Amino acid sequence: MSKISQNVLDKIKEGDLKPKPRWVFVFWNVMLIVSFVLAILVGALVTGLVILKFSHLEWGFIRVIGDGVLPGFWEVLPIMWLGLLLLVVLMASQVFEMMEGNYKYSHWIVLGGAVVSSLVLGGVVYASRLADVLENSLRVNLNVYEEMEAMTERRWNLPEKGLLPGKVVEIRAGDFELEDLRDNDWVVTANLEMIRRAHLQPNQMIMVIGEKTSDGEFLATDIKEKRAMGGTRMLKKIVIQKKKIVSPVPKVDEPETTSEVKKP
Amino acid sequence: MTKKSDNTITPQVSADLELVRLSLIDANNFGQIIEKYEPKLLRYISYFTGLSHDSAEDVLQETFLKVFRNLNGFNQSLSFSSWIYRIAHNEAINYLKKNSSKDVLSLEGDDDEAASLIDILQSDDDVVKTVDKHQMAEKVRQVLKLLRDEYREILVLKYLEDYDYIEISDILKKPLGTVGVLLSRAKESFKQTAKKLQISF
Repeated sequence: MSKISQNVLDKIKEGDLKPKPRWVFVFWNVMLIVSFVLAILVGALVTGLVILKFSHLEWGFIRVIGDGVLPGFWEVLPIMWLGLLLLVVLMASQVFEMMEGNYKYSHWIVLGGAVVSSLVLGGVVYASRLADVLENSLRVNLNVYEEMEAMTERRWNLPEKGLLPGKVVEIRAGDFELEDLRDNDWVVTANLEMIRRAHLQPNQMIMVIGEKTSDGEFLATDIKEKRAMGGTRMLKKIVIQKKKIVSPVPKVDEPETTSEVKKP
Repeated sequence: MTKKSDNTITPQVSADLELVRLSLIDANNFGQIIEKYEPKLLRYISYFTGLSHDSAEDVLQETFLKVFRNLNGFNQSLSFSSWIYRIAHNEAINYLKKNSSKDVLSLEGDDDEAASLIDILQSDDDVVKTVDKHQMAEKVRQVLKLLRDEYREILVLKYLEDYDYIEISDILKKPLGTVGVLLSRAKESFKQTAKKLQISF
């Protein structure tokens, strides 16, 4: 018996060493599989959310928010979600490579596979409206998320550039009062047809497109409604109007105050 | 050397499996695995790491202890030989990381082994020169010392240990394509280094 052989066997006997039980290895493999599946699922959900956010962006509007297409694109990128997506995709690829036998695939193939899986499954999450439900749930249950979204929303508060998002306070015949996302009060002039079409109601969140005429006064050319799901979605569904200023409706002598403009 | 590179059961593979089974029943049987793999693994570790004989033996002891502790985790889709070399590879890497400045490359080894490496590296040239084996072996060691660890290791696995690409892929846990590229670069690096040192074989 060689010296090494003797030493090793002595150490085994002295330390009463035993081979690790088989379940330890089985458990480790199961943990890897579970981690991989979880990473892919989280990746799919995050991709669904990213697609949701991109799908509600009016791309023509981007140059207004960022003084140019690229800066605007940077402004509206959901950095947090994209960062999380990158992390999850890297984690999924790493775990996949740690699984027995998977070292045979090249890093790029594994990474590409993780990205493609996330996109495909993320598309399913988006198409099945699971992304809507998830976003709403995050907004309701996570104050931090709600606050972050509010900060993102405030970037769209650009009356000087023709965008005025906010909450309807009071509706009158030819105008209405609006509190914007920075708590400033505005009197928005709009014709009756526009107000009717938007089904304005007090406390409703809307986006007004038009032109700032003076401090606290805004002339509307279009009004967009908030949609049922997703608090900020209305802000991202804006259709930027070409500079076609609609004349305000002639003011009546005694503007009547109403909670809702009746339909004809 | 009989190895399992295409999942066929060769006598060596079944013998290894039997030895693993017996070692799990009685630790004393593990001695047979040690006796069988000790010379090959010691040579591999010495050439790959360039450690002194004593240090290489330390690494080898740790390798065998780890093999014993992990016997139940031996995946039979690999050959036992590839699996045990993989553990030796990991142990050697760990040792080098922990003792990066302590050991100097010594590359102790048999002259015939080192000389056989150059025979194979030279096979492209179609010229066989008769030189003193001892001198040639010394030159090979000199060049190997200057190569990057990963180049030195893959040359040793391919030309001294006689492993094929699939087995090297299993040992290093790298894709086959990467093994091919690495080997080609290692050969090129060996030739360039020899040229720089004005060593001709």
